Amino acid sequence: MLARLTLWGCLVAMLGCSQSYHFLGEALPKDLDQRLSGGTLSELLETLGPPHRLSSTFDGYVMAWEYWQIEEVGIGVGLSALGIDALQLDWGDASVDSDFILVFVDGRHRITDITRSSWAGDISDAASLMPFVGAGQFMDVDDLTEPLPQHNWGASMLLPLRESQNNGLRPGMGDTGIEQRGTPAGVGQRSLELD
Amino acid sequence: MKLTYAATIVMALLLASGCAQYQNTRGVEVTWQANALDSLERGETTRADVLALFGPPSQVITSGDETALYYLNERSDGTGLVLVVYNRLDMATRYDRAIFFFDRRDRLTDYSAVIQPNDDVVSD
Repeated sequence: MLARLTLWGCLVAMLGCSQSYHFLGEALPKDLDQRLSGGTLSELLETLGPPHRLSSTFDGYVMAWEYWQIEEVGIGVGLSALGIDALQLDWGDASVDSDFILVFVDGRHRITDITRSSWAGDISDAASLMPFVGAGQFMDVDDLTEPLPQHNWGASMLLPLRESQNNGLRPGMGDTGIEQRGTPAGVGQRSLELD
Repeated sequence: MKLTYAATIVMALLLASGCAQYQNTRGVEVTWQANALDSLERGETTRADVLALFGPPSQVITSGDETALYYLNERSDGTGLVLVVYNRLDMATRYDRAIFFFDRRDRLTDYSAVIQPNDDVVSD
């Protein structure tokens, strides 16, 4: 009986399931295209509030509003509960439900373009078998949960050299356009930041 | 005897379990409550008035002769439950923000402010 109970105890300690939920922002209203098309900046701000992302353009502004739900699920068997980083078998899945609205406003504060994208589905799927040493993060959604870039506006000149060289093109500077979450930093106009 | 061992296992799991809570705030202090916005008048209020009311913004944006002041306070609240066998983490991030547009004479043309979670949106 003792052996059986001990075995059950070990099995329970080896099994583990984790769930992580990230909610970013507030849900966006529906049917905006018809309501705001041809409208003014005042009407836009009244409907959606201040934008989450903003940049000036050649003759006006581009603004974005966003809402994200990110879910991570992981199931694993291993000895980590006993303090042993070995013999791990893991499976994980991450999914998102996001909503993104992009609006262009001209110099007379008239809305010229509205576009919206909604994305629901899997973004990550992982499985691992680590017989000896577990290394690295199993799943990573950090690029989707980063703080908004406006916080770095004033400190951008203190970045390491190759990144500060990119300030003239860096999204979030207020006059260099905007980008969605999860856009790789090491491609296109920001290739100087390639690690 | 059986009960003793079962209780031991349950106790071991309870001792290994725990919970966590955290809060993380970035940005400027939220000073754009509805009563602070009452004094703003489109075409009358100047950029200096807004700066005096709300302090330095998170970002200054220019477009032609216009200026926009953008204020942002980002707050993340998280709770975690660790039960060894089942673990759960919930994180919610809210964005309290305000934006003010000024014409070439530095007069207020449009503005909007929101403070979550009360959905307290004020626009002009």
